[in-house]
Amino acid sequence: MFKIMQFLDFLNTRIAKVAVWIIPLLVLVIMTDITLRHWFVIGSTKLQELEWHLHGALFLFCLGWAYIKNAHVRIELFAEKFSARTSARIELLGCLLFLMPYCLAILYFGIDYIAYSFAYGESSASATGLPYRWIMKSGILAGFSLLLCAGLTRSLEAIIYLYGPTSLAHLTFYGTKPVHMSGTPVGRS
Amino acid sequence: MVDMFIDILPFLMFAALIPLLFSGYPVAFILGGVGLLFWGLAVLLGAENPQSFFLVVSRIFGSVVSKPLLVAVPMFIFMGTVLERSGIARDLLNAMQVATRRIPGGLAISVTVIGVILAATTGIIGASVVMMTVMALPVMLSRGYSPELATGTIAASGTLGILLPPSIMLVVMADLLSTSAGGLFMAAIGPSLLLAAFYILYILIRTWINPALAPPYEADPQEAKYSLWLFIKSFVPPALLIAAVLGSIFGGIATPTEASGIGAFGAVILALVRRKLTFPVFQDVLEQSALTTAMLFGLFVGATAFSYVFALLGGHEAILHVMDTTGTGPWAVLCLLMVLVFILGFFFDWIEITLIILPVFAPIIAALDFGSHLPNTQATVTWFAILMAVNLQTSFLTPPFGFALFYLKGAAPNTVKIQAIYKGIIPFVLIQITALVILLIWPDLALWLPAKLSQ
Amino acid sequence: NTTTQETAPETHWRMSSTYPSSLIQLGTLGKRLESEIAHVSGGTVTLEFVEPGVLAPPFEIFDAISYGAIEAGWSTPGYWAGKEPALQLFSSVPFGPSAPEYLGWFDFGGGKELFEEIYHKHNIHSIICGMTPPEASGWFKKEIKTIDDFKGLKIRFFGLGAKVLEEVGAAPQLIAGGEIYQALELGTIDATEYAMPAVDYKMGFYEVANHYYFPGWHQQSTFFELMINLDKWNSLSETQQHQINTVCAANVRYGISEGEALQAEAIVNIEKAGVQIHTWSPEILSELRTAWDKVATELAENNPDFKRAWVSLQTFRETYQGWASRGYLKE
Ligand code: NA
Ligand code: NA
Repeated sequence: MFKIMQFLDFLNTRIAKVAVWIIPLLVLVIMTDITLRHWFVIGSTKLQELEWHLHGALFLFCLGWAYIKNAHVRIELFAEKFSARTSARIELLGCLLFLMPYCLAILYFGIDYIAYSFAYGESSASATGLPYRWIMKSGILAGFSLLLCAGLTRSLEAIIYLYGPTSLAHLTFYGTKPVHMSGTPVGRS
Repeated sequence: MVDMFIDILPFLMFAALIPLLFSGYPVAFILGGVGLLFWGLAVLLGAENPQSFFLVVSRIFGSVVSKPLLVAVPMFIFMGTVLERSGIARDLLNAMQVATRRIPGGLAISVTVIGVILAATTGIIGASVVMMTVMALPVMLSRGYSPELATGTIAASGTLGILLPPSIMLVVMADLLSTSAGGLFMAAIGPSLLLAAFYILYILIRTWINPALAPPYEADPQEAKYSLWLFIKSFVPPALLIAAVLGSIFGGIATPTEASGIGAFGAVILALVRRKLTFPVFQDVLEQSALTTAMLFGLFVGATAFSYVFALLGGHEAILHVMDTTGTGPWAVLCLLMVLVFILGFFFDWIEITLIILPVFAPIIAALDFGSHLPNTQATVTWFAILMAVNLQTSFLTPPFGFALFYLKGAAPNTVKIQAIYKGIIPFVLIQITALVILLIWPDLALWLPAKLSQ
Repeated sequence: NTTTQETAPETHWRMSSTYPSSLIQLGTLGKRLESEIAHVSGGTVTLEFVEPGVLAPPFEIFDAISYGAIEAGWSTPGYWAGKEPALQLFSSVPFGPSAPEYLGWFDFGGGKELFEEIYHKHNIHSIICGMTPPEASGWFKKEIKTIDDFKGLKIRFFGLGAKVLEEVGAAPQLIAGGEIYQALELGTIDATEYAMPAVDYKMGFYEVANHYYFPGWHQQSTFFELMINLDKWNSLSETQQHQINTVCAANVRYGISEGEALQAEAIVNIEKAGVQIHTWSPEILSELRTAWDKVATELAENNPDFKRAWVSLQTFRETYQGWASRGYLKE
């Protein structure tokens, strides 16, 4: 079980750690765009569209990883007084009721959304823009799949902690207190 | 019976949201999940078609991914992180604290000034609040500033970005009110500076009364004498960076969005010059920036589902239903609207509020007659827009759903509690209300500059 | 047409708009459609005008209607260039026809059949439901004296016109709607196209650019559309379908008359603000037209539907020329 979870987390982390290099790439694209326009006066609709393609890819590929690293905002006003078991229950319910259904709904409708774009060879609405809209739209599928994976490991982790053998409990996120202060991932205590 | 239940669904959404948010589960996922659950409920009750959640995907693509203006967000976050990790931000704030050491709360005041400068370079609140948090909050805390004062200062001055031009909010409002964006830009400058002055005044008075909130600068034993050279060294590079960003905008080289890229590029150059940017540090900076970006966009992506389902279930009409203004005088209409917008601000962000309010009330406002209080209809519309704008800026700050507070929380060190943030923002919200009342009484604070320039 | 009985159920549809209701003509015509259809149908057909972004972001309406997520939309066909390039020819055509000729082609020259064929492929039934007069050619910070002045000109432009300008050496820019005014003010761009004078005046471009050019060669008249999910359209009674068609026909007429009346006043105001209003020289227009012909030929080569629509329009216009050149007084 830990193996699968570790693999899913590893996948998320690996992809995200490559995706972070989109940031310097985006900086370079913007600088190129400005330089071309101001000093060489070259039209750059394509570069300008590439900019938001990159920013989209960046955050989509990092959504799940950010969950693993516990970077998403929580209001811990009452939560910090909860016991580790309560926290684990909340995390499990949160994943099962909110996060995973939401990801699944996005994936369900997203597949049609992208299939449509692909089937009609959709390109930019701007005549001077980029082709192949479906690539960027597929980023939504990728991003939410990764987020789903992160939700899956998090809920399995909570299940192991709550209902699994005590010998494994310390390996989970909830074995380390205080729960909301750290993002120690599965099996790597 | 079922019909009645369907009618109150939008309100039930909020009733469900509030306790859930306090469960400690990530806000972004609760927003999205509650949206989905209520949509599912509406489908089961036959009040909604089973295809309509499709639009949430469209909204993620159309309003979050393919939004060129949002490119500024990762750029500003990256720039802030680079400046923080390379020590440039710390040195700058130190230098500013030394320079203002005779003034109570000097560091907080310096941060407010930086907020105003940042506000002139971006209109995206997420970008400015997060960048300020990343850069200034650790320094303020390490200097012994109270977390309440520190976070309040950062949140309030960070949200000035939406008021001080460039501001996407003013552009959207200009669109909806059919008036010139330039006119609104000019009109927003006075109130923005007024607010900044109020923040500074508040910090001065507060820390003068209670100096423990903002301990004065104490020189490091190592750098017993803070030399002029050291001051120049820490002050000049970031000043040049700011000059480059502002210069590229006002020199017509780049749009504000692109200028954020220049800022990021410049920050890297500065860090390289300082030899503070080794490869592992750079990878780490990238990872930190990406995490913060994902946190912010997670909120966007979750909130878009929530507000979509809310609108789908007739939430907008339900709110407007509350506002029946027939047969009331102009002042009553205006004040009622301001109160409504303020209350909506507790729960919604500005785009929802403008979309609910402006299309319906724009014609009503333009027809209101305030007698000699305002010179003409155009002035009434501009004045109203600025009042709305200040009110909406406040909506980012009001607990529990002030999005600026979430941004700040997400970017702050884990030791900073939401309690401190909530507590710290209250005085600033009171300042916002005061400024709003002053603007109601003296419209010229907004109208003077555009009038002067159009002569 | 399979027709449901006359006692069709009351229909309440959400009509998501690409333009805010406050936007002169582009939005107000959609808002007018909402109230007219309510009156004409006696309340059995409701098209609830939904502001852009409330449900669907402007560019997402097409997919949402096609999928059945929402029932209807208010837009202009050219918006969907990325999905069906041919639809651009049903919005406005560079060096294209003015209103009577355009309507002549659409109603009697084969335009409508092609239009519906393209839309039905996407499970959408679209109806031409509004029309506006020529747009202005745009706001320029510097005077354009020859075609060479376009070389290196940073101009914010969208659609087919952008392709034409690229052809003559300009650098078309894609500046986000919210940043146009300031970009023009600060010189980040040298020029921008926007809309017709009445809208341009409201947007305040006269404050930041001093040269206003006519005629709008890229947009001589513009069609607006009511898009409806095809299944939903088919579920209407014949009476309801007629009601919608009739209201749309009336809305087209209203758009033309209102549009003609509105611009005159705006031009007076813009002139009063000290803007220099120019007319393109015949030489420049002819260069731009050559560029457009090249662009159109290329587009037709790459897309069969575009080609069919383009050939149909061109054929109609050639024949029409024989009438137009004789039938109308030249001033
Ligand atoms: Na700003
Ligand atoms: Na709020």
